[in-house]
Parts: sequence; C-alpha cells; structure tokens
Amino acid sequence: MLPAFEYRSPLSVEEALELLAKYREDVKVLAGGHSLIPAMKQGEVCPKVLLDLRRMAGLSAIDPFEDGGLRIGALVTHRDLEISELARGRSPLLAEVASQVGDAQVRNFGTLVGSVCQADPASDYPAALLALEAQVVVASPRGERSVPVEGFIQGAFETALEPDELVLAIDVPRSWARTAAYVRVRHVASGFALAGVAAQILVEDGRIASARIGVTGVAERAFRLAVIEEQLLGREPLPGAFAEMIRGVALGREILSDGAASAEYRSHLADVCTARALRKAISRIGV
Amino acid sequence: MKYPVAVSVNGRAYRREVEARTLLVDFLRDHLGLFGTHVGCETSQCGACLVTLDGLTLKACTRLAVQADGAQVTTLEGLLVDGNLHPVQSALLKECALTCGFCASGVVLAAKECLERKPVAGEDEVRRSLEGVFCRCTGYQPIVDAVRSLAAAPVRDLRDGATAEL
Amino acid sequence: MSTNARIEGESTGLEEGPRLVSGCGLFIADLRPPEVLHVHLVRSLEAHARIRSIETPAASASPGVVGVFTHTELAFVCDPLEWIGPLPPNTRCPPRPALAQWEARFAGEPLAAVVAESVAEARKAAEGLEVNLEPLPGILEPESALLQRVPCVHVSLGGNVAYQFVVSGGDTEEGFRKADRVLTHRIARPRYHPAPLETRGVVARWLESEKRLEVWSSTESPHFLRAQLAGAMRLPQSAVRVFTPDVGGAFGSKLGATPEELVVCAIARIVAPRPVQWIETREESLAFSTQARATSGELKVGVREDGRLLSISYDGIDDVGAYLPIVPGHNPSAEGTLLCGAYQIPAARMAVTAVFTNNPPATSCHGAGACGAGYIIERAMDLVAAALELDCVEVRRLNLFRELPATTVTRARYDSGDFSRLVDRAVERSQYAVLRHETSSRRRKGELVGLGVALLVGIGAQGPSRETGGPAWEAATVHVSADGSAEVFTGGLACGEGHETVLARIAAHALGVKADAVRVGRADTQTMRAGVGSFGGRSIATTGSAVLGAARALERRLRGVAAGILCTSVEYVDRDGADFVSGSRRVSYRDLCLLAHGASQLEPGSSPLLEETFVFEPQGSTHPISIHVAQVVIDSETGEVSVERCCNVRDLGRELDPALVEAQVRGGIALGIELALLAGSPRGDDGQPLQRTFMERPVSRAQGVPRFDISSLPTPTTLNPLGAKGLGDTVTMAAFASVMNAVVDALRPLGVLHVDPPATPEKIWRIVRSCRGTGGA
Repeated sequence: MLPAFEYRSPLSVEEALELLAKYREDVKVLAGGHSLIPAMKQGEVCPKVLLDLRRMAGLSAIDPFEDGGLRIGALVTHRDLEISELARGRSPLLAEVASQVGDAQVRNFGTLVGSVCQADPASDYPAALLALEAQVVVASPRGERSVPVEGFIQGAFETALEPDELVLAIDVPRSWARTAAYVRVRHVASGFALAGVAAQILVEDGRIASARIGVTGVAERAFRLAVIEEQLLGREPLPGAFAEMIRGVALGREILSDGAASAEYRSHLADVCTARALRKAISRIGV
Repeated sequence: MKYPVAVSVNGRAYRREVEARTLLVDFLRDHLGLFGTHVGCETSQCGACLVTLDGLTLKACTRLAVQADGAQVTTLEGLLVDGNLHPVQSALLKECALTCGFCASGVVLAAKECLERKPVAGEDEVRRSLEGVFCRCTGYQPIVDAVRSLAAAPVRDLRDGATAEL
Repeated sequence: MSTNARIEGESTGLEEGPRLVSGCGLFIADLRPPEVLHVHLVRSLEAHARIRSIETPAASASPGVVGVFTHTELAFVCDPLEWIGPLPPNTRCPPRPALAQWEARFAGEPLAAVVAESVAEARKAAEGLEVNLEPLPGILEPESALLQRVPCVHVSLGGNVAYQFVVSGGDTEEGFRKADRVLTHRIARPRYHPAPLETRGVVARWLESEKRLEVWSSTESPHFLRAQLAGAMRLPQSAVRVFTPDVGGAFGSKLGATPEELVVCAIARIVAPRPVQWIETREESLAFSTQARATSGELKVGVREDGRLLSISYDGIDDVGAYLPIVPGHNPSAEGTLLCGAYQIPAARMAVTAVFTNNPPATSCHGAGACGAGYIIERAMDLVAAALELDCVEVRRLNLFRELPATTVTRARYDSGDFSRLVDRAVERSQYAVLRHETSSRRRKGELVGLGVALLVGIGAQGPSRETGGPAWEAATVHVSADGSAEVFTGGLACGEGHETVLARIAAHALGVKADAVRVGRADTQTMRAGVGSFGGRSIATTGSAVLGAARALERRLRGVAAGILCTSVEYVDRDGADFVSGSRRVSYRDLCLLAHGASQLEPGSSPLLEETFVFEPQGSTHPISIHVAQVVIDSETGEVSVERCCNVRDLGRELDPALVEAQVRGGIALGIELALLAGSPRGDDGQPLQRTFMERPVSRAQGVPRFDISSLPTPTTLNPLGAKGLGDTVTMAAFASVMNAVVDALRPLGVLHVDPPATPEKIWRIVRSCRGTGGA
C-alpha cells in the first residue's frame, strides 16, 4: 500500500497554482496517473499532497492552431492522440508514437503531458517531441511560459519545472507531411524503449531540405542527432543511403546500462533504430 | 484523512469514505467485496485487475479510488445479466480460452473492448488488444479465436448490462 | 434415452468455467475470515549472513501491530520443516526453519514476521525492525560449491552436496571407443521462476478448544502439506485440516511445504483465535520463492559415420539453492532414465551432482525431471546432425525405436506409441520439406532463419507406485446421496487444468448418470482423508483412474441394491439411461438411491451408505510424447528472435476432453517459447535478484507467439484404465527444445553449434557480432 498523502482536485488553474505555491516540493500533479502511481508504488516519489487535474476544465482538448500546429492539453490521453483525426492529420508522428505507448489500458488513461513530466529516459515520446520541436506550456503565478521539450527534460526523471509551476499543455508544430517515422526496440518485459528513434525529413525538389531526429531510451535524456541532421541536407532521400554516417550516434553521451541492456548494446540499437527510422520515413515520401 | 467516493459499480451506486492512497483495485475488493478483480502483479503489467471505467478498460491497480469518484465502473461480475453470461464470456468458454481463470477479468474485458472498438478485427489487431493482459495457461490462441468468433455478433449485444445514475 | 455422460468425445466446456469466467472463483487472496491478521515477512538482504541481532521493540510498538516474531518466539510452537519418511538414496535434506535462526542462507530468506491488523500496517512496522546481519562469503555458482576450502551452505552437513545420482545402462566408454566421432559440448539451463499468474498464499486458524489447525493454501498437494505442517507443528495429522481454494496456476511452484506456510500456522497458534493470512507479493514470488533448478554439464555423444548413436553421457551439476525443497515425488533420478529419449542407444549414462548454494531453493518446475533429459538428448541429436551434415529429422529417424513397447538402456519402459508415425505426421503437418527449402532460399538472401525439431518423451504419472521413492498412488471417493446427487472427493485438485469437468464426467459415465448430477468436491483433507496431489501431469492418469475405480465399484453396489428391489439377481440388472431394469420391471436411479438410504429394502449385510473409495496404484510410469517443429527468424541487427511457425503433434494417450487438452497444449507451447527466449532468473554477483516484478521478468504475450498448429495421434496406455498418459510438461519442453534448436539452426551458417537458453536479444546480438567480426549490421 502507498504511504499516506493528501488528495486535492482543484477546479481551476488558479486554484491549482495556489496549491502548488503552498505545498511546493511536497506536491505531485496527477493526470492519468500511469507514470506517477507506478513511481509512487516503487517508492521513487513520495508526495505529501497529490493534485489531481481531472476536474479542471479545458485540459482535455486537442486544439488546432491556425499555422497548422496543435495544443495538446494536460489531460489528453495516448488514446485520444491515437484516434484523433486532428492529431493524425497534423502530427502523424505523434499519433504514431501514441499508438505504440504501453498497452491498450495505459493508452486509455495515460497522458502525453504526464509522460513528459515523468521524464523517464525510456519513454517513447521524447524522441518524437524533439524531432517535432515541441514546446511545453507552463503556468505559474508569474504567468505562462513555453519551454522547448529539449530544455524541459533535463535528465532522468528531472525536468525544468519549478515547484510552483504547472504544465498545461504541449504545443506541437505541424509535422512536415507524412515523411516521419518512429522505430524502437522494446524491453521484452516492461515494454519501455531500449532505444527509440523518431525521424522527420522534409524533401524539396528531390533533396532533403530539412531533417530532425530524436533519440530516446539510450541516455539519461533524449537527444537530437544534430550532426546527422546537418549531413542529410541536400542529399537524395534514397533508402539505405546513409549507412556510413550512422555509426555510433550515441557516442560521447553517458549511455544507460542496466539489467535490461548493456551500454554497448543500447548504443548499437540507437544506430539500428536511426537507420530504420530514416528508411521508414523515406519510404513514406509520396504516400 | 478520508475522502468521500461516490461510484457506480456494475449498475449499483456506492458511497464510501476512503483514504486517498486506496487503490481502485483494493477499493473494489476490500471495501465492496468484489473479488472478481484480482491482484496479479502490482505494476500495471498483467491485467488481472482489469475493470472498465467510464467505458474504457483500466488496470485498477494504477488508479486511486478517489480518482473514480463520480465514475461508472464495470467489473467482471457486472457482465452477468440476470445470471446469464455475456457473449464474450460464453465465447471464451466455448473455445476453452481460460483454464485456471485467474486472468479472467483481464481477458474478458480486454476482449470485450476489442470487439466494441472493432467488431471485425484481424488476428493481429486482436492480439494487439490483448497486449496488456497475461494468460499463463492457454497460449492466447483460444482467446483470439473466441474474439474472432464474435466478429459477426450485433454490437448491442456486447454493451454492458445495467448502468445506474449516481 | 441416451443422455448420460460420455467419458470422452466432444468437449462440453469447463464445469468450473462459468464460475471462473464471471469472477466468482474463490482464490486464496479472496478469503476474508473475520478478525483476520496479516503477516509481512522481513527477509534477508544478504545471500549469506550471520544474524547478529533482530531488534523488534520499535516495530512492535508500531500502530496496528499485534506481534513481531523471530525464530526464538516461533520455536515455542514449531520445529523446522523436515523430510518425512525415508529420504531418497544419496540425498541430504537439512531441516528448513520457519524463520532463519543463526544464519541467512539466501537473499530473501524469511528472518522475522510482523503481524498486524492490516498488510499496510505490517509493512510500515517492518521498516522499524532493526536487522543486524554480518555478511559471510557465499556460494553463488554451483561449480564453486564442490571446490576445496569453500564455505558450507549448511555447516552441519560438512559439504555442499545435496544429492547425487547416476543412471546408466550399457558400456558408455566402449561406445565412445567404437564411435567414429565423439562430440562434446557444455550445455546449461538457467534458473527461472515459472510465474503463475496467482502468487502463493495461506490462511490459518487455530481452534484451541478442539486443538485443531485449519489451513487454507493455494498448494498443489494438500495432503503432503498437511503431513509437513503437522510434523513441524508437533500435531497429529488428524488435527490439521488443509483446504485448497481455486488455484491460479502453479507449474510446480506450489508444491510441498514452505517456511511461509509454517510461519503463518505457528503465528495462528500464538494469536488464536484470530486467523492469520499471508499473500505472497509478486516480488516475493519471482525473486524469493522456489524456482526451477539451474543445471549445467558436459554432454558427450559417440556416433557412427552413418548417424547411429552408440553412446551418450551427461555429467552435470544442478543448483538446488539453499534448501532442498520438500516436495512429494522427489525423484531426480527419474530424469536420468529418460536420457535416451525416443532413441535406441546402446549405452547411456547420466550423472548429476546437486549442490547447495546461497540461491533460493529450486526444484523441478515444468515436469517431474523429464525436461532436463529431453532437452539434453534433443540437443545431442542436433549436434550429431550438424557434425555429420545430416538433416536433423533424418538423424532422429535413424535412431528411433521402431516399435513399442520398448525399454531403453536406462530402463525407461515405453508401453505404447509409435515414434515413427509421430515424426511422419509432424513432417507432413509442418510441411517440413517446404520449410527447409524456404529456409535455404531465405538464407541466401541473408536472413538468419532456422528450423528446429524436438521429440520429447516425458513422464506423466510416475510408477510403479511402490518403486518411485515418493508416493505415486492416488485415492478417490465417490458418494451418492439419497436424492441421487453424487460427489467426488480426491487428493488431486485443479490448478487450472479443468479437473472438475473431467473428473465429474468420468464419475458420471461410470455411474450411468448425467454429468451435471456429479459435483467434484473442493480439495479438503478432511473430506478426502488421503491423497498425493496434482503435479507433474499425473492427475488424469492417476486421479481420474481412482475416480473411475470408485465410481465403477459404486455402480456395482447400486446394481446389487437394484437386484434386491427388482427381485432378481445382479447379472440380470440392466441400465436404461440412469434407470435400473430387469425385464419389464424398473426402478429409477433416484428411487433406488432413496430406497437404499432408507435401508428397508437392502439385502442383509449391505450398507445403506452409497460410497466407495478406490486407490489407484500405477504399475509403471506413463510416457506422454510430443514432437515439435519450430521456425524462427533472427533480426541480425538487434538479436531479436521471432517464432514464425509452430507445429506440434502429440501422443498423450486417450484424451478425455480434447478441447481442454488443446488449450493446455497451446499454453504449454507458449511457455516453452518463453523458456527458450525470455525466462531466466538472473541474480547479480552479490546474489541479489535482478527480476522482482513483471517489469523485469518477461513472459509470453499475445503478440509474441504465432498461431500453433497442433494435432494428436493418441495411443492409449495400458497402464491405467482410462488409457491417459497425462500431459505434464512434455509439450512445453518439446516447444522449448525445438525453439532452441531452431535458434542454433538459424545461426549455423555463422558456425554456431550451441546456444544456452534463454536466447535473449543482447546475447544473440553478441553471438552474431562475434561470428561476423563486425558491428553485427
């Protein structure tokens, strides 16, 4: 059984922020609970107050921006993203990742925002969110701010969130057509990513005009493959053409090593998934 | 400190006071005496604690009872209508899709949700929908066959039995 | 009018099915006796340590705590668990204390028990317990247990050997000398926990006024548990009653008595009249409870150039962990008798030394020993095929016993079956030739594809009853009440095999009534006073035969009563449906039962009690057979293995309910794949478990297994009246061995001859990489 805690379910952002300001480090925010409750069971976090967002209005929506982007509210579940026509149309990469998270029950209740706030290094989303250059929308008594996901996730289970701040949503710019893919290798028991790579490429006049590649599962935090993104520019998008540049994409980082996979194996999987994600993205050109 | 929870379970309204830390699965078993929902793994893996909450399958070990306040919950027991088995239950029995029976809540409710979402699901889709439930006895194939045998069943037959207003 | 139960044929579905599928089963954790207290066990964090002190005052003062117990307190009411009766030859079984006394012998051994009003309070209080352990050097690798000057797991034994056995026949050395080739390979299988979905649990209550102990346990062997608990609790067995509720799977992990059960009983005696409950957590189950033995050893095969095996030997070390599990039917040498498998080999020898280590206790999960030998011989066949560049099916055919009955050189007697037909059927059903062709062409395209075959001979019911070491018989009572309703009581019970269904049908058939007129009683040592248990695939062969015997005897009794009522002699009494007729006279089954109980129309000397008990004693071991063909493909970049095809042909003797058998066969295949690819219970260098939850312990999931093509070619055994050989884990082990063979076959083009299970992705990736000398891509 979990250690005792106080439970609050505020009705408004203002009320939630007041509670956060009051309890600060002692409070944890609960959305779908599929990251937080398991972490509490493992004793990894031990909040004195649980702040449940479920009664708060306006956090359950996937809202379109005029420029083609999306705002994904803090209570939007993986399942919502998986089946939303809007999400599938505007951010197929994110919908693709959402459809692969956990299992059917996790997808029914777990949320994108909850997963990002947990900052589990083996979570699937960060790869895609980095490739998509998504922003985390944060509210505090000082007002709202947007933080790029890249800066928001600071390490394993560490975010840039201040104790009095609340994540309201994640903003995702419109994906570049459908030339994106997510490829991962899962841990055979937990289903979490040993390595997961999201790649998004923009092709103009038969050449790669832009590329974004995010890698998760391999290091303490997800990272972008900036060098490869650069090298891809101007190249023809031919399947299997980039093998020579995908060697040791994770080198130079502190690679995770545990009972699930050694650092050496994870590093190798990062290469494999990068090559496969690029190949898959390229195969979707013109689809 | 205790918190009020008003919840409809299998069409019956309950009001209880619980500690915030009480998990939904423990609430169902220890407070309501509904033992059809089992504790299998405690880590949201095995699915033995599956229930339906507001129409979606949920691992009840990964939700607090207080989060279910105001919700409609269906447990495995709730699928019986007038003592008759739900078509999914009958199909599973017909295919010998469970033997020890400990996984029943997971298998039955996951299978039911699969059919509701896609009445004519392919083999891969059915297997994917069973990803979150473990069966240690039957190798899953009879479960898949049972679900697919219901492909033509009218959808209304697959809905829950009674639901109650709080 | 022929609506009576048939003993076999179409499946009518599980008798217990509606109850289980609608959430109305009653499992051990569902029991809520009033005033129940809960036990939380505090376990050793060290693999081997001296217990300096356990300070209990803080924990005792914690809210809700009723008591904190260590070995000292429990010693007033119980002794350690000990082997009852003569030990098997060359076996040493140290007593196993309820709570460790001076020394903790594995990481997870119970040291203290906190008893509280709720599980939460017990756990909370346990945090206040001060356990002072002095770490000692331990034995974690079985090979080191036999070295000189190493620590003893049990100092009193003066060595680490738990048991040794040698099973041999023919002259193996001569066989190796005559052989054209002698192949050797080290092979090993890891420890694992079989992970039934339901963990263990126990509830106990002491009735002081009656001096009686009542125990509810999710055990596979209630009578054996009763004997063990009574011995340790210093009670006559008649004062202990064990009930078994529904059991959510066991696979050998719920056999015998364990300290947890004894702790709960001892505490129940102290805190009487309040009942006491312990439900195992998943962590306790996966990391600390009885596991499957690890084994490793040297395999040696002598073979002629034409592929005929002349000699085989296996010299191995088994790791039984810190204590020898006290289980019924403990008979490790049974394994050795199966070393020849389905093959006529002139000489064979299996020598095993089992050693104590500072790992959790380990036993024969998944089959009464048969599995180890089956895996060894089936790996040997593939080593031979590889060395002689023969097809693996061809090598098997060359060496098969052509005709049964036959006795192997290690004295296993196979009474019935046809190995050649099973191989033919498997080759045909799996389209083996097509698969081989496909494999070759896919290999040319660079794919790592493999085909594997395994032909497993297992042990269903052990016998002969009086020579197996442990008890091998089973008892059943059939009782008919005045209204004609029948009850069956047996020592075996269901752990998810559908016993209620099949046993009811057997009894109904013999009694000549409908199956719904028969109920199968819950396992309860008071209603069924003697029995052995349900394990190792013995149930239908032994328990079913006992039920059949009892029901037949009772039916003869009923005919006798009918003869009296119909004023005829018994040979002129016929059955018409359930009714008894003689010429034009008739008495209905119900009236007959009522009249019998009324006793007025009974012949002098016959009893009004309509009840018969029958004990079935097998005259030999039954040997279920299973042949499995598996196709796998390896992702050469990630090392992930996918099973693409599975084809299984079985001879389990007569199948009383084919649909139920098929469900279990498929379940067995999924488990076999899991053992090959996923399961292993790794521990760190310090003896700490690395798998504590299903986040770390992988299991077969719906998406991870293909459809299985299964079929049956049954030949009834002559060793029991039902003709059933039992299922056991023969199918599981056939699937396991064939998938391992397929993995090796897939890696053959790289020069690989053997891979130890489990074939996990990283392991396979490393093998591929080292063979190719590149990054593996």
